[in-house]
Amino acid sequence: MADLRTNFLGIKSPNPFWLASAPPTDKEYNVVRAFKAGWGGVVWKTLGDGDPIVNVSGPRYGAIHGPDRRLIGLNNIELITDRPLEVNLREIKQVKKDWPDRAVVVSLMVPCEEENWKAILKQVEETDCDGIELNFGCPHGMSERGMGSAVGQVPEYGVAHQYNLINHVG
Amino acid sequence: MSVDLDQMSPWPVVDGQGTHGGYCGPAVKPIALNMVAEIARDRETHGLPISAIGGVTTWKDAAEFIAMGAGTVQVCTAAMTYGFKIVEEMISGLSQFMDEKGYRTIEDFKGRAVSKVTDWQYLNLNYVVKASIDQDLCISCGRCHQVCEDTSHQAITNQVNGQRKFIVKEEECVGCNLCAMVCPVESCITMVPQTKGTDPRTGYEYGRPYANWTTHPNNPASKAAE
Repeated sequence: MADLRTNFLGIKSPNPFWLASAPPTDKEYNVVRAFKAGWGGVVWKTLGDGDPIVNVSGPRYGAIHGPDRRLIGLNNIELITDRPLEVNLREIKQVKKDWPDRAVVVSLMVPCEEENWKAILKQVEETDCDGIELNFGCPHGMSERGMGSAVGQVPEYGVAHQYNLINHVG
Repeated sequence: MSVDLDQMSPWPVVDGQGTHGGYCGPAVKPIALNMVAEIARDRETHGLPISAIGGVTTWKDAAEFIAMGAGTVQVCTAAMTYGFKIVEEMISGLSQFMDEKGYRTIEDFKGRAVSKVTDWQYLNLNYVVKASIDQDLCISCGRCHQVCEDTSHQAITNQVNGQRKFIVKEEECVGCNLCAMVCPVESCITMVPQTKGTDPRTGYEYGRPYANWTTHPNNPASKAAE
């Protein structure tokens, strides 16, 4: 069998297959099932700060099916994680400890204020995760609150923001 | 479009090279529909004549674009896939739909769905649905259980009393709709709006009045949150 190991930005994983930040990586139960199934890494579903956000309890997904009813497109209006930050951080730390050979990256989205980012980065660093992903892409709900794609759609904003992050976090 | 893994080149391969092009067809329809909806509902562009394009293949696609504000639809991929006669089915299907609904002219339903397009913050957070599996239609394939267990909220059984059986656990179901979307049997899984009793997942009564994020206590910007 060929060697599938990867070293991406210094993050090592046994294969290049990472689960994206999304409902399948929202909690320890799902992520552990994924690792047992063989996934090389996960990007944990986006964390925020403050009181947890609230999701709709009506349908969150819509799909487009091909003529044979195979799903070929999925639309999602679920927001970032709706679980408390402390719960997610605790689970991330435990999962990384139990699965040291897998990549665990944490996706983040907080208001574009320096203090918010400094505070959450310090907490996330303590989980021993391998890296962070900046969620500047979520196109629904959070963008109406000045986060997600509201940041990503302004290139100058994003670049300046990342520059600050690098300066403060290293 | 794709990569030819033998030639290690974008496909289609033109003498060893490839490039991007204009991507179209049924796979872009949801994106096109959203674009039309945004033009139709935006204060600055509302009411502009729209000739919609993007994956129109059937009469139903056309009806959806018209409901979202289009005056005409433009078709390419469907004609290039099935030939010009596909317009016969589009015409008869659209006409039959309009007869059934009592729409005499295109204008009667043009733009009818536009006012229902809203921002996330105005969605009703008190609206609750739960998945329901029709046991007579269920073929016990297990796909709903598999996706819910792996990637959602562990809300569907695969065994009941030692028997292979797929039942929704209402105390776990968030009403996400994933099971219904992956079920190979159409209409086997439906999302049922809950109106009476208490939600065993959240402890809240069903049927609470409309309330959205703008006034939710967890919203830092909420004026109602004191």
